[in-house]
Amino acid sequence: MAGLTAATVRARTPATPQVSPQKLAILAFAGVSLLACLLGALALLGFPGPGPTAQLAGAHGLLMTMGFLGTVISLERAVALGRTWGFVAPVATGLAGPALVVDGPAIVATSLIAVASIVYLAMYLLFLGMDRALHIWVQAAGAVGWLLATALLQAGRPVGDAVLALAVLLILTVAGERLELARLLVLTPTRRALFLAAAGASLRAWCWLHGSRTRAPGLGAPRSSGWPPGSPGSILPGGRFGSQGSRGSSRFASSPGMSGWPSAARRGWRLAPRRPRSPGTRCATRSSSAS
Amino acid sequence: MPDEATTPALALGVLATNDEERAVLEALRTVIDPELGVNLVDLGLVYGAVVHNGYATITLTTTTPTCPLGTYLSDQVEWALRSLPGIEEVEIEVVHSPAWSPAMLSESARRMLGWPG
Repeated sequence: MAGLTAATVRARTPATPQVSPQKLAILAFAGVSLLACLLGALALLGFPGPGPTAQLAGAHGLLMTMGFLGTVISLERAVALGRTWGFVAPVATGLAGPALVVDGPAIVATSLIAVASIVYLAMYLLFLGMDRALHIWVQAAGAVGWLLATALLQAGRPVGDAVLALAVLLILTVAGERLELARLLVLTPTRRALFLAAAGASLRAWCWLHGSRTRAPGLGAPRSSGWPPGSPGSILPGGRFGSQGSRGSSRFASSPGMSGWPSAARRGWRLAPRRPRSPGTRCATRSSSAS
Repeated sequence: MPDEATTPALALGVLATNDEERAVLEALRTVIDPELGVNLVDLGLVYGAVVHNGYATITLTTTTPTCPLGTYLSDQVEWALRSLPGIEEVEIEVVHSPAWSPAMLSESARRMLGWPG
């Protein structure tokens, strides 16, 4: 170790992260779903773009929650678990996106989503075996929400009936991640209780919004930030870290600037012209239209 | 809550018994957790660092089993150590037992994260 000093160690540049082609392919499928979802949402707003507009509009809710977010979230968990079978979940949701749009039997897409939900829950059972921390229980409850949504879709219920369960998945996943970060702060029992109360209140408020059939954007746009007052995200930390020499991917991951997009989406929705909707338009898929 | 005597921050002080291991720990301090902006050693994510005949064995954890950064951190650690003179092989193991807890944060990390003194 002769000649090695702290100064020379610090002068080195971190290695560039390498992403495997398989993971990039999965992310590409998620990107396709995101693009298709946005085109569908624009069509619903009265700005039809290219592609099968009606199908994109009808499937846009599942494209966002399952095809995009479901793929990204389950890919994260599969990478964390490090078991090959875990990647079945993001692959299935990645393929479900195109299956929702192409002219084929709806059972293909719903079956892919069902497979993903089972694998996703199985991953959480393993995570809980490693650590039974509260934030993992919260996220595991989200996984149960995904399974419930799957059961509803498999039973032939319209997607609108599964919205609450899908919202449970997304809200509790984000809330659990925030709770995990919150451990890095001094989380007193009072704050912990406030978090749980706020999580419940947030879900309850969302249910009320859904029940009143207000103009909830898409599938409710659960907020990864820009949380309403009293909601879990409003009392937990967001991208406040990055205090020690973070740069590149580190700075990107801890950037508070990432937190603004849900608010922008909501404001965009409010600016859009009001259009009367047919009952089949709202969160409908080909399966629900046929039922 | 793990026994304080087993927390990595304290254990590392015992493990770094020679210049090689001290240099390894110093190199590990250059690896930053991208979500928290604090180095792995001060976060208590390094459970073990042993150097023997140029062979470094590092045991890491993540703050939660659901964190996908294990592979990323392993790559960064391997890169940081392979460039050290005298280190020929690096073996990295990511474990989740014992589960990480905030009790494993060093005093330095607590200050950086805004914990009250």
